[in-house]
Amino acid sequence: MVKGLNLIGLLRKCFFEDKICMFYRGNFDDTFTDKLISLADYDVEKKAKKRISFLMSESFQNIIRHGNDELSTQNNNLFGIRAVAPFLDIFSSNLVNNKDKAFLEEKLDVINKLDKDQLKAYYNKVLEEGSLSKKGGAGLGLIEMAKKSQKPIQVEFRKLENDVFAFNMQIDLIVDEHASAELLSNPMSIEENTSMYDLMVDNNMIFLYKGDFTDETISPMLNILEGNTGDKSKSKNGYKIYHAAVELMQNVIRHSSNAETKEGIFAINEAKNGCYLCTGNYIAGQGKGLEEHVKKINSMNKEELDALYRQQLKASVKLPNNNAGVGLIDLRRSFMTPLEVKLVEDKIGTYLTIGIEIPFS
Amino acid sequence: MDNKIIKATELGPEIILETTGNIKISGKSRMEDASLYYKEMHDWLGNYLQDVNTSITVVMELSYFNSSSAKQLLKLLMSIDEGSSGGKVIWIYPADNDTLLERGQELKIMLDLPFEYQSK
Repeated sequence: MVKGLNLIGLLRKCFFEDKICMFYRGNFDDTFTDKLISLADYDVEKKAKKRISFLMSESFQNIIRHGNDELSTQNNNLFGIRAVAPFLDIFSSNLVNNKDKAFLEEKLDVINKLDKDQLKAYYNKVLEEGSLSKKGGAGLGLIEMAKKSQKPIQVEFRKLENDVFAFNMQIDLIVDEHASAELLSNPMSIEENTSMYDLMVDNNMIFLYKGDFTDETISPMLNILEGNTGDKSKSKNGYKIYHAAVELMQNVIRHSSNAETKEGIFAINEAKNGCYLCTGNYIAGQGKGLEEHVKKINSMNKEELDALYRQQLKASVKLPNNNAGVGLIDLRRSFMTPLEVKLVEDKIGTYLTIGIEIPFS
Repeated sequence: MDNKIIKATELGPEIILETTGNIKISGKSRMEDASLYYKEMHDWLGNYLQDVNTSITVVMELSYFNSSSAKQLLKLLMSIDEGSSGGKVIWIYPADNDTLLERGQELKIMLDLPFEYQSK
């Protein structure tokens, strides 16, 4: 298992070619979809945007529809999107039993052989026949997805136990129709994403994002994290994660080396008695003084940190810039676990990774 | 001078500014650049302190605020502390969130204004 800040290094390698990627592993509810859809609201044509929203919503609904509550223990559902030109791949994984597997296999086998017109006709036929499955699905969602995706739906069933299978599904949506025929005929293989799933499980990772960091792009993620704090018994820990995520993500925005794209990585891992949050991004300048600052605040006790926070915040009011300069102090004093920082120089510039463990109460 | 309402957004709170000296900030505040969001409020208060300047009551009912917003909230309260003829802060916090109570108590330490705390 890769631990702490080294995770960011691993993720940078895995998602080198991804313009945007996001994976979420856990238990989903319906409200998750709406929040997630706004993630797709990035720089693509309007027409594609609409299709992306639809497909994300449907494949997500599919987890809920075919996901088996009796089989589900914790964290075995996964939902992910990856933008690797010229495709946007939507990946989902959930547990099904033998009966569900047979239903899905039969439907997908038929659907994947049909062209656009045939899919339309098949959709109408299924609709008329109204042969709804027990869970309210007639496979209509699957047909809709196939109609919009322009590529066959990639499917894989992995046997976990006797009557338990991981149902992995990937939809490859073309977002750049002007790409070369060779690129367009070679979407990412579903195996790449099932191995991502393994990587997330092996490293206890529950959330990861790579992409632009702006108020607009981080908002859906923060809404997801905020939404997951609704449960009263979990709200204290949820608030902690949410607060740390806000400060860490905004730290990326503030110190990014590129004024326009502000690209970075954010990940959440389960830790022994809580969770671990980390970010990585290229920063403007060489980060001189940062390691010293972190070393200093890591050696301070709560009282000293509170005093330093107040002193810095008060001093910042007189300064015209936006930054209060207390984000890291606040993280350190909120959780009283040491902040981890690492600066690496490479050909592009200085890459900063920051991580902190959040103990649960 | 007129009353002013800044409507809440996905990232910012609702801000009600009344010439009777009542200010209310409610909702969450988590924008990266809070100085931009709170500029109108600071401008309004600057004019108010010059033109009207009666005692000000600030009701703060925030469910969350980030460090960038903390600076703007402190800036508001410091302006009132220094410029107005008296005032107070009513700090309303969710009953299940001690952190937000502590955040209010912390602001109080940095100011002369009296604080009242109410859980909701």
